[in-house]
Amino acid sequence: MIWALLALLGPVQADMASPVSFAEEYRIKAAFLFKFTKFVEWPREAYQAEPGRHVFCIYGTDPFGPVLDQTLAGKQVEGRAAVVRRVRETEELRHCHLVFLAAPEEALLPEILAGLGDAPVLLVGESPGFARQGGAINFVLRQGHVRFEINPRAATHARLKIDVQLLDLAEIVGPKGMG
Amino acid sequence: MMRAKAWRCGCTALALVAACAGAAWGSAGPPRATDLTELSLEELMGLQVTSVSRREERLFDAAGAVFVLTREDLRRSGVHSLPEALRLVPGMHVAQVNNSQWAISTRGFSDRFAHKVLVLVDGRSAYSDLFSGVLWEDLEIPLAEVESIEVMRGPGSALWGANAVNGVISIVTRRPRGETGGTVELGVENGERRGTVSREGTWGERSAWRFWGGTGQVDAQAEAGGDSAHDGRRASCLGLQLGRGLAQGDLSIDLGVRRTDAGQTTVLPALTPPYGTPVEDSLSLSGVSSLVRWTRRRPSGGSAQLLVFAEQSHREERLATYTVNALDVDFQSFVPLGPRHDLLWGGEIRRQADDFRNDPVYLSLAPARRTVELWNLFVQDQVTLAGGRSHLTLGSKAEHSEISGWSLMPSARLQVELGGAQSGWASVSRSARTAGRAEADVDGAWLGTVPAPDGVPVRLIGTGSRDLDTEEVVAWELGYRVQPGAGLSLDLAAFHHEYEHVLASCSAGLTPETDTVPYRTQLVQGCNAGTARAAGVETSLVWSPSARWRWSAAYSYLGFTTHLPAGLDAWTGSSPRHMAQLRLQGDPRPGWETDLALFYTDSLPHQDVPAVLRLDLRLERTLRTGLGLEIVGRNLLDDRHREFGSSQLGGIATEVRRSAGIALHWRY
Repeated sequence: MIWALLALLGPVQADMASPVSFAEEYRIKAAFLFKFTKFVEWPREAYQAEPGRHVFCIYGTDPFGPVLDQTLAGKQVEGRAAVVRRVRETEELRHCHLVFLAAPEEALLPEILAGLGDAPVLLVGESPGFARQGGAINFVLRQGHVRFEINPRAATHARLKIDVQLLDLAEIVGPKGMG
Repeated sequence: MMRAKAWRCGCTALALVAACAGAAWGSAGPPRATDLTELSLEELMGLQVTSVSRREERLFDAAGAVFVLTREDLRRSGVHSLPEALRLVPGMHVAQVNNSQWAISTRGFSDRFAHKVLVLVDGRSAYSDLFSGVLWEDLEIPLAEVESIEVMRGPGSALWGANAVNGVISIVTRRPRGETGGTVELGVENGERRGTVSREGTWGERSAWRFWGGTGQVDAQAEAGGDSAHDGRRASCLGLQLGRGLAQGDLSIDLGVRRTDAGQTTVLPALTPPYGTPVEDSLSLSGVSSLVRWTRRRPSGGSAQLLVFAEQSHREERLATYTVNALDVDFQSFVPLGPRHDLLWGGEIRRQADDFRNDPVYLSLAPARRTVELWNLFVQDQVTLAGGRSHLTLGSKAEHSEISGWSLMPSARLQVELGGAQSGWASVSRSARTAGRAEADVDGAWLGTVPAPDGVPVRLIGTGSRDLDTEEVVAWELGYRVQPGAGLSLDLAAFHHEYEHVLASCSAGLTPETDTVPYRTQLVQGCNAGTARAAGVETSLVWSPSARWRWSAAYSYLGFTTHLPAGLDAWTGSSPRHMAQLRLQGDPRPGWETDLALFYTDSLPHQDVPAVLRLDLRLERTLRTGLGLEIVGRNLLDDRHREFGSSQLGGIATEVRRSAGIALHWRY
C-alpha cells in the first residue's frame, strides 16, 4: 500500500533546493531580518553586554510564531549566535541589536525612540509611516512582494552603518516624509 | 461508541491550552531545503507573498490556560498518533485502553467515552451528536498531517459551544503554502508499520494544491494472560486540498476519505454464569468528507469566515452499526470597533442525520433513524482597558439542540500585563454539556448481568430519558505567566470547577421475568444524580539555556470530589491526582537531534491501574538536506503496563508494551 502511494508522487525534483516562487509573508520577513544584519554594522560596544550573541527582539505582539526562531536556528552573525527574545518592557530594548515592532505596536514608536536615544538598536517595523517617524527600516508590500523603506538618518542617529548595497535596494525615506 | 455507557459516569475533559503570547519556541534544527535565508536580497524581494497561506494566528486568547504543540514539538516528540501527542500537554491525562481506544481527559472525568471536552479539526467540531462525545478512533488523521494542536483547559463554551466543558482541543492540519515540494515518511516499530506521503504545488498565480495520504497497520496486542486481544488494526486515509487567493481573502476546499478496519473483543452479556461471553468482533469505520472555507479580510482590519462541512461516515461492529450524514455551516466575523473594542460574533447550524441498526436483544434506539439539529449564536467583545495593558473579554454563546433545549454559556476573562515580562489572568465561566441520542433515545441496552444475593441473575437494561437536565459547570480560574529572561518562561494556572446535575445511571425499577431461567430485569436510566467539584493547579516551565538545548517540565494536581449516591461514582479514582513530565530537546552537534521525555501518571484506584513512569527517547540524524533517520524507544522503563481499565461493554483493556522503532523522513 505504501509503495502504491509512492508511485503517485510524480517526478521528484532533482534539485533539492527547489525554486520557491511563493512564500509566506512572515517567512520572507524573517529571512530579511537575518539578511539585514549582514549589511548593517553595529558599534563594538553593542556587544559588550553579551559578547557571543546577536540579539533579535520582538516587542509586544508576535506575528511570527515559531517562524523567526526556526529561521534563525543555528545561524550566526559575524561569529555570534543569533538569538530571539520576546520583550515587553521598553527598558529591555537597549539590550537588543535588532527590534521588530509588529503592526499593532506602531503607536508605541515615539515612546520607544525617546527611550532608546542613540542606543545602537536597529528598529524594524511593518506599518505605514514607520520609517518616516524615525524607524530605521520598514517593510512594505508592493504588488504582493515584500520590500523595505530605509530612513538613513534614523540609522545614523543610532550609530549604525548601513551598507550601500542595502540602501540601493531600499526606498529611501527622509524625516519629512519624502519617500 | 454509542452505548448505554453514555449516561454512565464518565466525562472526558479535553482541554487544550495554548501557550501564552511570547513563550519561547526555541527549536534548533538543521536548515531545511527551503531555507529562505539562502536566497539573495534580490531573490527575497522577488518572492510573491502567498495569499493562500494562513498566518500563525493564535486561536485562543491568552486569558486562559492555553498550550500549543507546534509542528516542531510534534516532530521532536517521536510520537506518531494524535492521542499520544496529547500526552505532551500539561494537565492532560491520556491513557491507552487498547489499539483503538483511548481515555483522554483533563481536570477529571477520565473515561473511555469522553464527553466533556470539545475537539475541533480545522475549526469544525468533531463531536458525535449520536453519543455526545468524541471517539478518537473516528479521528483518522496521521500526525504528519497535523500542523499544530492548540489546547485550552477550562470551559471554552462562550466561544466554542456546549460540550467544551472542561476544555477544547483544536487540531490544525497542514495546508498548501504556495510552495512546491513534498514529504515522505516511513516508520516501523514493534508490530507496527506506517507511511505517509504528501505533495504540494501551485497552479496559476494565486492557487495552490496539496495531496496527502497515509496508511498504518498495527498488530494485535497481547492480554495479560498471553492471549491475543484481537485488536489488530489497519487504517488508511487520503486527502486533497485546494486553495486560492481572492481579491481580499481566500477560498479553500478540502476533500478527505478514510477507512479503518480493526479487530476487537466484545463481551456479550448472557443470563448464565459467567454472565458475559467474549466474542471476536471487528470494527469497520469509513468516511468521506469535504470542507469549504471562505475568508474575507476587510481594509478596516476586520475579517469574516464562512465554513461548510459535509461528511458521510459509517460504523460497523457487533453492537453498533450506523451511518451518519452530517452537515455543518459556521460563520464568524471579527469587527474591530474603535481603538478599544474587538468584537467577534457568529453562528452555526449543525445537522446530523443518523441511521442506527437496532439489535432487539443488546442495543436499540427509538427512533432508529433520526435527524438532530443544533444551532448556536455567539458574541464576544475584547475591551482594551486603561493604558492598553489589560484586556477584558466578555462573551457568551447561546445554543439550542432539539434534545436538550436551550443553553446559555457566558464567560468573563481578564488579562493584565504586570510589567517585567509578567502577566496575569482570571476568568469565570459557565458551561454546559448537552445530551445526545445516547441519553435520550435508547430503547433497551443490555448493559450486563449481575447475580442477586439469592443467586437469581439480574439483567441490567438501560433506557433513555427525555427529562434530563443539562450538566453544568461553573469554573473559576486564575493564571500567571512570567519570562524572567535567560531563556526561561513559567506558566501557572489554578482552577475550581463546580459541576451540577452530573449524569449517572440510576435504578428505575426491578421486574421478575422468566425465560429458560428465571431472572429479573433492573431498569437503569440516566439521571441527574448530584454534584462534583474539581480543583487544582497546573504549572509548566520552559528553559532554553542555549539555542541548542531546551528543557520543559510540567506538573499538575487534581483534587476531585463528588456528591453522588454510593455506587454511581465511576470517576473518583479514574483520574490521576498528580501528573508530571520532564522533556529535553537537544541538538548536540549539527545534524543530530536528541530528545528525552519522562512522564509520571499517578495511580487510578478505580481502574485498578498503578502509578506509571514512562520514558521515551529519540535520536535523529540528518543524512542529507531534507532527509532524516530517526530511532525511537518508547516505554523504556517497563516491559509492559496498563494505563486504563476495560469498559463495561466491549473494549477489553490491553497492556502497553516497551517498543523501539525507526523512521525515515524525507522532505523535498
